[in-house]
Amino acid sequence: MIFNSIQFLVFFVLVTTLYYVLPYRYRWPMLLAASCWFYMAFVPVYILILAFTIGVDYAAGILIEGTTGKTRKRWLIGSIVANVGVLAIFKYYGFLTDNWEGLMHSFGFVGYSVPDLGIILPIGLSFHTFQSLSYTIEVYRGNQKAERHLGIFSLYVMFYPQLVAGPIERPNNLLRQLHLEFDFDYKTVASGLRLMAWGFFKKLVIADRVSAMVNHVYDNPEAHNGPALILATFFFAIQIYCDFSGYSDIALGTARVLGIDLMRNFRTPYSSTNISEFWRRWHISLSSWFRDYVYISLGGNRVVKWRWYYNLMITFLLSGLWHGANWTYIIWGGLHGFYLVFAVVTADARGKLGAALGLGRAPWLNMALQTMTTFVLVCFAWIFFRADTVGNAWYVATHLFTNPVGFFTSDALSFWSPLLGAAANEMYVALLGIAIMEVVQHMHARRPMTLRLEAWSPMKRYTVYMGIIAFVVFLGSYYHTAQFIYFQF
Amino acid sequence: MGVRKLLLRIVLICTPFALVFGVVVVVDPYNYFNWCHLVPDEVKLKNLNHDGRTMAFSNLMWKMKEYRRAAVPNVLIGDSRLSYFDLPHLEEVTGAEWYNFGVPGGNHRTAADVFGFIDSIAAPKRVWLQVSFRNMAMGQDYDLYSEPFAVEGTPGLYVSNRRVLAATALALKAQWSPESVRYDELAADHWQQVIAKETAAAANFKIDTAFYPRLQAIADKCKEQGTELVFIEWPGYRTLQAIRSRAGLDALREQYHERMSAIARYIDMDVPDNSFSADSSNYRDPLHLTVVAQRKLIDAVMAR
Repeated sequence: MIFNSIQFLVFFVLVTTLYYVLPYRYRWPMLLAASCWFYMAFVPVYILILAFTIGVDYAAGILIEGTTGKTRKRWLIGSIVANVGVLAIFKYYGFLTDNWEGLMHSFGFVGYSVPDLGIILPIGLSFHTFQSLSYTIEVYRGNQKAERHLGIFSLYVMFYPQLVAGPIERPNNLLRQLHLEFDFDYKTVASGLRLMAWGFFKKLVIADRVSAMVNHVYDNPEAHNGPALILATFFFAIQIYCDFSGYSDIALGTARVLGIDLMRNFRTPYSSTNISEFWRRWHISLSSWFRDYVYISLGGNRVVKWRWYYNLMITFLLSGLWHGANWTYIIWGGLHGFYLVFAVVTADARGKLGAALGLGRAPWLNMALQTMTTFVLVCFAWIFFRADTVGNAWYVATHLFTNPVGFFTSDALSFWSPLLGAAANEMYVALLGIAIMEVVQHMHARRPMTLRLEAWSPMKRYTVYMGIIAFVVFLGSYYHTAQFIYFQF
Repeated sequence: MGVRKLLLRIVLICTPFALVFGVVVVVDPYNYFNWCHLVPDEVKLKNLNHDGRTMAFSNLMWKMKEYRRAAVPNVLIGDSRLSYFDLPHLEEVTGAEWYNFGVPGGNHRTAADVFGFIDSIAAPKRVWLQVSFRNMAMGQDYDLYSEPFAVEGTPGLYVSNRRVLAATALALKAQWSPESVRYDELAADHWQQVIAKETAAAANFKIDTAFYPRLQAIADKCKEQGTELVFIEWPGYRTLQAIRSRAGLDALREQYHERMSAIARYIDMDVPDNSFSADSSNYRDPLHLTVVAQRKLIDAVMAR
């Protein structure tokens, strides 16, 4: 079941109604049953994988808490091996065997092949595996008490709003809230609904609309030249942000309607002035997971320099691999690792260059340049994320500036839309949506939108609500991409 | 108290949308629900070709819905060159029922999509697929089908789709104030405009070979289920043939001819130096045939 479907709308209304109608003690079983139903709408049998993860980590949490020293560590390792093992089988088996076969063929074993298990990747596997892992790691570190209530623990792993694409929650936030009793509160529920509407706007009006344009170019990059490749890459940057942050807003809003606050996953990442800041604003729940459990565990930056660089590279290569079993993702992660290492290595030189150019006297210009540079670097890395193969990514990366004629003409929009296989009015709606999003984000950064809306007159407020809903209903793109990009991870 | 307040506000927000949806259901510009005929079918049919921007969606939407309601065993698939096609004449000379799935602005991708749609309802007996060398160009793979297809299968999308809303408004306007509706008319220099456009297209022509496997897939499917498939190339005006030659595309055209012949039975009428192409009275513009000319071709080719 996907958020942008009629089924979800019905499901959401039913679950929310039941949630508030039922006495407190029946809420968790109802939510758990609803979460199972939600997950089983994809591939029902894969609920067994979740059951395995829940069983292993529930037991591991109690065993870790009850032991000390090496035994404690062994239980943690057991939990990690079980979780990573599930990932290895269901997500990486095909990738590993394909590469192994390729290697063997290159050594002359032409007929060599490894059996294909024909596994379909369980939806959201990487998300709930990492969420469950964070629980055992926190219990091991003594930051979290082991959860004795199997039902509540199951709900922690399976809570439907964030089950398939995050945010990857930590036990000290979500698990704690699942024990609380929450009464219907108009303001909280209304705020959740607003957030959901905003998420649908980003997903349906912008992300799904530009996805058709991006696919038009990236499905067959060799048929296109520089301007189309640049535009498609730019629009992919917009698409993935609106798709994923839209999903996160819907997830946060859905949970908030039930009185549960999930962690924020995005803070206008494209406003970042450097790559390090970008990663503090982009997919925060994942980047903080890697920071807390991989980067810091490796020693972080409190080590000799070469080791620091190594830690950065390893963390980002793993982050790339987390996203998908494909070399394109690994290269994408590696590129970000490289950007960060490069930033550290050249920090002094860049500082001196900025001073020589007098950028210190024009902080706005300096910031604008840094933001633009960061955005361009991020977009360049997105090429590898989006392309289906390394060959396609390489083609795009090396043909960005071919045949730039007509890119910046007075009639640019009508020049751009055919390049992306779109009608001009589709392009107008997409650009209008992006402009609205930028204005709202800018306003929100200065003063939260919730406070602004509450200060407005009812007429003004309801005009805004209806405007957003009208955009979603009448200008949403319902016939190209239904799936959220991050569901595949 | 809070629950009541929330429900009241949700109702307040939803009411205008419900009203709009209601109007669409009642006017029903594409006979989707087909139970209210407040606006007569003649008006709706005329509106399908209201302007160049909306023709493709409107024609596909109407035809898909109509075909789903009453599928026929023989179909014509193609682009705007099947507009103004004399279907009754074809039915008379062949003695069979036909459906014209000509989509203005359609391409080979549209043809493949439409074939898939038809085949998903029932395997057709005969398919005459109008193909075209000019439609083999790179960039001619734009998607006209996904939107009407999604809308066709989902009533919720139908009542909220903005093209359907625009068609609803047009239907109301055409019914109550027909003099205020302007339909696209051919410009005085339309003939010259087509020539100029085709000259530019020929100069930049690069063949997209990805269309061949798509057409091959149709042929395979037809073979598998015993459907008679014919590719037919309508004759363009001789100036267009000369433009193609001047652009150095004759060799490519010849290869295309061979590939198409290898895929299915291929009737290529767009050959240079024939008397039909030389007669401008056969054409509405250099690309599109008149009804009378189409009748001649029906008698000459399809009636056999």
